[in-house]
Amino acid sequence: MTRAAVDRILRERAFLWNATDDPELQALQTAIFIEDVFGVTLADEQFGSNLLDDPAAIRVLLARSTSLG
Amino acid sequence: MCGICGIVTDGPAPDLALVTEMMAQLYHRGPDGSGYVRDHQAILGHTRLAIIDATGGVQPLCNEDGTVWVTFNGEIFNYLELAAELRDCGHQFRTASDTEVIVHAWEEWGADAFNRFNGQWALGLWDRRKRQLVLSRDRLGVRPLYYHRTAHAIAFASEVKAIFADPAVPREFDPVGLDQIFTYWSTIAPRTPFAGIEQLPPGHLATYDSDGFRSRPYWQIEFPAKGHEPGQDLDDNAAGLRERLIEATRLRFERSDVPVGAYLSGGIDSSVTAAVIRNFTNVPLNTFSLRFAEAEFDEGGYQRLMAQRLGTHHQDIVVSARDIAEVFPDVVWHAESPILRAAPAPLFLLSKLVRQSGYKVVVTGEGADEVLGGYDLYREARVRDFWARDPKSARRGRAVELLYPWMARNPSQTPAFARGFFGMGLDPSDTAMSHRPRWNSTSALRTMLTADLRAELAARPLPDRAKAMPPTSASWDPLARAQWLEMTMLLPGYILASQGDRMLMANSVEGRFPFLDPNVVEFANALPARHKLFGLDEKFLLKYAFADLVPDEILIRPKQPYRAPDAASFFAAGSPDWLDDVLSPSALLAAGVFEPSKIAGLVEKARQRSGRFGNTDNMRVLAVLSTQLIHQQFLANNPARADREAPPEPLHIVDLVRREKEDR
Repeated sequence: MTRAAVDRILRERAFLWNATDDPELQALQTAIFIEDVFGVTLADEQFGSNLLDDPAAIRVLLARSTSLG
Repeated sequence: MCGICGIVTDGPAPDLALVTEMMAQLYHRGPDGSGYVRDHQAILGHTRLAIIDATGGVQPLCNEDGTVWVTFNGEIFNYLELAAELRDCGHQFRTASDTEVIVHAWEEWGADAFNRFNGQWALGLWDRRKRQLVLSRDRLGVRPLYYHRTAHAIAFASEVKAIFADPAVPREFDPVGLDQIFTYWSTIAPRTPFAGIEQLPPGHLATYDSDGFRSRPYWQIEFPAKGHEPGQDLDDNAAGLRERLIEATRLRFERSDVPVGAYLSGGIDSSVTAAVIRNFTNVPLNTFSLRFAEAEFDEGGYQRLMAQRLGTHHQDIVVSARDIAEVFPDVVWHAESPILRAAPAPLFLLSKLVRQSGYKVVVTGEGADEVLGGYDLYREARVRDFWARDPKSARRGRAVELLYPWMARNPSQTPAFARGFFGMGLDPSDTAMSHRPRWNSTSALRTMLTADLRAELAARPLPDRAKAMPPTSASWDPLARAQWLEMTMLLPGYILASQGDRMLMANSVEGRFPFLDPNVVEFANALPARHKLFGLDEKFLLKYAFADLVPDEILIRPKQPYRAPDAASFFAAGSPDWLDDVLSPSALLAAGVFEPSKIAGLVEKARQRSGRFGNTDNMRVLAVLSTQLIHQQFLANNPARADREAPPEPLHIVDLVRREKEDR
């Protein structure tokens, strides 16, 4: 996935309507989003991290996933 | 919108009295008049709901030289553009109706004509030049079309009851059709609940001539490979969707010679269509809503909010559980299928209000959930996909608690049960993984069947629906595969049929569905999946594209699917008079579908606590009641029920056989 594509998706995310009050469920909802749109699989310990607030971290994650794949 | 019927033989003259009886059975679909054309081996019949060109659009209708005749149910919304094109090709029009476009288009383009139609239709076309009957149905199955074949003839009609007008047609359940309903919620065309009665699949045309009967698709649902969607930009896609949806809504609202109303459900889909009408047309808007006496099902607050925002003349009807029970036999009579939900009944009452208010046409938001990713089932599938990527994860299973937030008893309140239910069959290689939980839970209905029927079905199990998917589906996004299943099964088989056409036409009202415009559907299918279901945010692009026209309260509310009280309607506050008749041991034995002892247990349980029934028991009750009513009304040795004994007046007759004799 290109840098432009990652940035585009992260911009789109600002328009998400869904949210939940339960932090654990919110973390899972975010993980579902990341895995679906970026095509990666997260480890349990990555749920709840601030990946979506950090485009650089997403790019690292994607690069690592690609190199592993 | 109308009723169509006909008989074509391989030689002998069809029975005119029988076609007249078929037309009488379709009175409710076209109370404004009727007509038939009689040829040597074909009779086409028609009952008319006059919407476009009330004077000139009388059917059946022909081309310039009378060699092509059509009986037509539906609308060709782009008929003005097609007529202009056909005039340029030299065709001469005698009317201003959309029906006439069909005969000229068939002459000019043959079978390619159907791909040029933007509309909703079922039609029978008699081509005298080839002595050929052509049957065609719109892309997604908005309009119904049934037929019955014998060695020397074919009879077709908008509804099965018209085909049953012929006493020679066998009246039996089709065990495989029932099995499909008790697994998938509906039959899959060409199958129906009745042995020997078939339906033309959506997007198909069929021909019947000296070479026999042949059926083939002229259009199919397609999706791009995941990651290869042509448009990735959110703003571009939103603009594209908005432009197409506005045009689709305008076509459906403006192309009518009678006033068009709109449904307002309280959700985003009908809010968008109503808002588009208000903002992009210059005509007054009347809106209609369905409310429920039970607060759990009622969306009146959101309906009023939208009606006030748009300044419409708004009417609603409040439906109680008792109302549902009382009209249910009529609902099943019109649905012509076992149904697993009571939800069609309130829609039957709503269309009655529409008709009593002087309206023949309504625009609704139907199809948005299938096309733009609105169903809870899609969210459920995404959660299951997520879990299936690491089934041993200690945390992923909790994601099921994000599902069905609108339910009174949702998965977050019964997490262990929910994890057990949604965690079954997590197999990423299964292309139908999205639908397995629904199919598995529905097939619990089979345990109520008689031993004979269960043995018969066990001997011929249903083929796996996943194998019916196109070969290219392996490269589609999982959401696209789920959409394909939904758009080829529940949409035509239940949503547009038992909940759609049948409940509207029961009261002579035509429904029009902008979200099912082919330009909208093909555009939406090509979108990246995230623009439909963004994470777990349903109909993301629709909300983004129309955020300026729909109040935030409606935009951000979790989707609440349309539901009605089910088993409780028939048991919680007393039972309707008809109930004991259809559930008596003799009626159950006569139908031969359900094991009487099991039904006795179910009924006893329902009498005690139907108000606390879960999904499976609600389905069981509805399946039994509707199937027994089908048997009583259609299959038992009763004379055919008919609301009317003759077709509606005035009767328009074209007798080509007599004309030939007179010419000689």
